[in-house]
Amino acid sequence: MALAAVLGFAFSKSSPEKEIRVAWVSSDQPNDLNERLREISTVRLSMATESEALTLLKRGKVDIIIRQLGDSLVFAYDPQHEAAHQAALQIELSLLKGTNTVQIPLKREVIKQSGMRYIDFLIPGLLAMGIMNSCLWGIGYTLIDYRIKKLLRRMVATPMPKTTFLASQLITRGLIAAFEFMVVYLFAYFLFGVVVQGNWLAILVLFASGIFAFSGMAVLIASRAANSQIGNGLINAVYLPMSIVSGIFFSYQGFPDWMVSIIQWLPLSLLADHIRMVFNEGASLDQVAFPSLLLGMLGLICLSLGLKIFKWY
Amino acid sequence: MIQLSGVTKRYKSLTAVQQLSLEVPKGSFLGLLGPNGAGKTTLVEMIEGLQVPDEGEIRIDGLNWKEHGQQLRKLVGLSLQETRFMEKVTVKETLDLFASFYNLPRSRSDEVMQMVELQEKSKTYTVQLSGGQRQRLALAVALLHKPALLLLDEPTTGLDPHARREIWYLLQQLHQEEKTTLVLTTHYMEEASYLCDRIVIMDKGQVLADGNLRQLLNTFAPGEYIEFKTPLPMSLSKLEKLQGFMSLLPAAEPGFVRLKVKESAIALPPLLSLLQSESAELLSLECRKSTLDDLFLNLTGRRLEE
Ligand SMILES: Nc1ncnc2c1ncn2[C@@H]1O[C@H](COP(=O)(O)OP(=O)(O)O)[C@@H](O)[C@H]1O
Ligand SMILES: [Mg+2]
Repeated sequence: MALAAVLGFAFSKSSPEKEIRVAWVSSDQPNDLNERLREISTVRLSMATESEALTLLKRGKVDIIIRQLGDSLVFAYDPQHEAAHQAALQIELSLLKGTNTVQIPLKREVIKQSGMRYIDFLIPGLLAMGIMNSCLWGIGYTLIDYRIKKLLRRMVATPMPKTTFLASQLITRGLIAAFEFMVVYLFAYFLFGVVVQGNWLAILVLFASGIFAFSGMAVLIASRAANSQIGNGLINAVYLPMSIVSGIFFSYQGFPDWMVSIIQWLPLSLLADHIRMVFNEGASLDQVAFPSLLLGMLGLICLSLGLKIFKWY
Repeated sequence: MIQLSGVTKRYKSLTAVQQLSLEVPKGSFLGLLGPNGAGKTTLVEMIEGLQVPDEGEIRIDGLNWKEHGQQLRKLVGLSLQETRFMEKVTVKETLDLFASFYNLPRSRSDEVMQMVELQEKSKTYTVQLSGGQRQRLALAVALLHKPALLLLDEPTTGLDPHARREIWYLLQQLHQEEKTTLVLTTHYMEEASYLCDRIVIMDKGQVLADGNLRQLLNTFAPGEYIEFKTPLPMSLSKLEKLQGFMSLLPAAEPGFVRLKVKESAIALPPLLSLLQSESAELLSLECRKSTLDDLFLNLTGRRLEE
């Protein structure tokens, strides 16, 4: 049910009524061109300096940058980004139609710089989602499967400490996820020139805290489920909503503000946003320290709660 | 070795094990026999420390699970009812994994693999094992750390007679050569009769009868059965005069006569001459000793294996 609602939202957002988020860059004072853009009901205009506009674009907060350069308007966006492309066409159309058409020339600029393209937005998100995937399904499903097979019960009947067992799950999963991460990254690097502009150490810290957070969630989810349908359902209930709303494929900035203020704190959003910041904005270790700490704490809370109610037998 | 006193386990309104007391001396081979739902699994899992009794006390070698869990885990070996292993892991890897849980060298997994004769399957994935092989693997895992007490929950359920014999053979060897104290649960009376030197019959969470096969049958199901078919009706008064006659039982099919006698070897010759004197043709004749199933029927009015 919740899922249907979320999907409904996502769909309604991709309909023609979808809000178009635009950064406006101009050295002039707000003028009538500016007014014309504002009049288009679907446009949400953010006034920005050149560098602010670039950051907004990198974070998916805007899809298009419109610059007023001399006596022309330049639309800058990545045509590979379907939503941005559609939005630009729509704005052009509204500016040119009606009695009061805009007189100055409209130009397009294709964004090609690494760090600003749609692929630069997409890949860090996919990497974050890969971490979530690997942990929730890898650990969550394994634990439930072992419980169904009575293997958990058989294992705790040996002198091996339970913590050793869980730690080994976490380490194994971390190694597998690291391998998957590198495969996707190298693929993106060689094929699309996606690069990490920031510190690899920051990536490592985010990666580790992500693994910990989602492993903790996996343990909590799997703490009592005794059959695979319930297990599947629980994992999906966490996994699907986040993979849709957390800004992996399209920016969550298109959701209403009150939702954005919640979504940005979801673990997957935190992870994806900050991995993206390190990739595209060159964020440093300090800048990812806080979100990493939050993720780590989430992991710790879930893990201790999960262990408290964990059904070994 | 094991002392249970007043052990009770409830699941909501259902009492799975009720006020059960039992003492199992070292070196014995005990069979817990009972139909499905009798509470066998619940009982052995409490002995294994996997479930906690609601009431009563369990001691193994004087130790209890609450205080001496770690010691007991080294003392007790077990196989659960239907354990499945990780599917894409081989027999050898599974044994190595469990050996590592007990801090045992990998050579030990080769030893147990040999004991249960799974060497040829060493590199086979556990999903590809037959039921009997899987049970032998579970047994091998149980034997890794040379437990003094081995608890096996339905080790042969669902196996074909051949596979069952193989497990029986292994268990007898363990009992005789390693002097392991063995407790197994089963709902096959032949299994308990054949293997165990002591049989505890359970039903509805309680002990119905306890003793070796002879004692149990003599006490709770004395007598032997003779069943024959003849075209002529037999009169009760003549049958009653047979030596050691106990009762006439309802026959399974018309034309059959079922008798219960003290000893068929004594009752049979006079029966045959009786038939001859009546010139009644004997169409079939069958004698059998009473079994644990008869005993269970006598005690509960139900059959053991259904
Ligand atoms: N986890 C459980 N929750 C509720 N009832 C249970 C549970 N485990 C067993 N029972 C019930 O307890 C009774 C005894 O079960 P069990 O010990 O498995 O018997 P057995 O092993 O002799 O077949 C059965 O009626 C069974 O349905
Ligand atoms: Mg059982």
